[in-house]
Amino acid sequence: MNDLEDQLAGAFERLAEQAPHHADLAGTTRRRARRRRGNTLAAFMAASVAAAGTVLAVTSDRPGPSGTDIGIAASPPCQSDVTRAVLPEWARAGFSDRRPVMPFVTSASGNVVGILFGDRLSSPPRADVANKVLWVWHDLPADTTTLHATARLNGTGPAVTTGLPTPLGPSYVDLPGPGCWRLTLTWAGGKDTIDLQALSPQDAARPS
Amino acid sequence: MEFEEYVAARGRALERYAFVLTGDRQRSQDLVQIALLKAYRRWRQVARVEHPDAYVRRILTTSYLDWRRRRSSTEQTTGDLPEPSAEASGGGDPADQVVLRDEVLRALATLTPHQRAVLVLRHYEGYDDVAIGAVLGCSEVTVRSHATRGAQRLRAVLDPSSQPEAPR
Repeated sequence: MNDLEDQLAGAFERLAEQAPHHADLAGTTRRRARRRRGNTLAAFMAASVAAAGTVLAVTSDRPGPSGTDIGIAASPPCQSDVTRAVLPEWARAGFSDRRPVMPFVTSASGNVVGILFGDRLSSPPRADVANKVLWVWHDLPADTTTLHATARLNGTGPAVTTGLPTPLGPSYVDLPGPGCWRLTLTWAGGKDTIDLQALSPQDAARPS
Repeated sequence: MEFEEYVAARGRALERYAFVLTGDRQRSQDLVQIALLKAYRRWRQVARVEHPDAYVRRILTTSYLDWRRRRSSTEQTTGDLPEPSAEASGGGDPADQVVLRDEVLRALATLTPHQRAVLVLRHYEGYDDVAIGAVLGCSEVTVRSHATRGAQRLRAVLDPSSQPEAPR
């Protein structure tokens, strides 16, 4: 095998490791098949879901603001899915590449992405790689002065408010300890969440 | 084999394959859903064929090629790597490390859809040229042609000084 083929095999494996996972592929397929049989039934289901305040893991025919389908359970477990792909079009401002490929996390609503310049967050921060995150909003709140962030370990622990960035623009996100942290962003008239995984410095330094 | 059994056994592999093909999180999930939806609608027939997985992968791959064909009407691929590598720029910023590691992946984005599909099937799935031809619906000669041109393209993009390439 020549050098290029080695690189290709390695690149494909790395990419495959980052593949998104849908926990209920078969169920979603069945639901989509049923939905396409009748728009009336689909509309009824959507109305029921909205009324319950819960969005099932059903792929929407209409993409959200990020172009991603939104599948949010009422209280899903904290899980930070880092995407390594071309950034959404609305999040590319400032990049010289027309189609920049970066690792990023997406908020539950799809309205906010956090672009991870350090690839992985470390707690405590590593000496040589900062926890630099660029926050990009698709639709900014009307009044950003009311923007506030809290973090909870695994989404349920005690709320942490100190040391958190106001998620606008670039910031250094030094979370209190390793684990999955759910950032809850609130502002006048709105709320969103975004999950961030912080690793120990040793784990963060390991090759992905 | 029931549809649920098939998805439980092969669903994750389909997700990985789709993501390697597209490099796009959302698109890969869409492709998996498209392929499974088509298979689900005629599962009785699909389950009777010798290799249902080959059938589903063929749908997925064809959908990928269709998507790229539609997209190509509005986008042009480029051989230029838009960010300097960490070595070229002197390193320092963590963002450059990400760029360096993803250089091959970004070079893959400059391939034609058929070139990429052939290279993925060959180097990720381990298919031989006959199997690749069956998935893509083309001859072995065509498969080898796509593979050769794809490799040439990658070499030219990754090391422009070694293989100057004529404009596409």
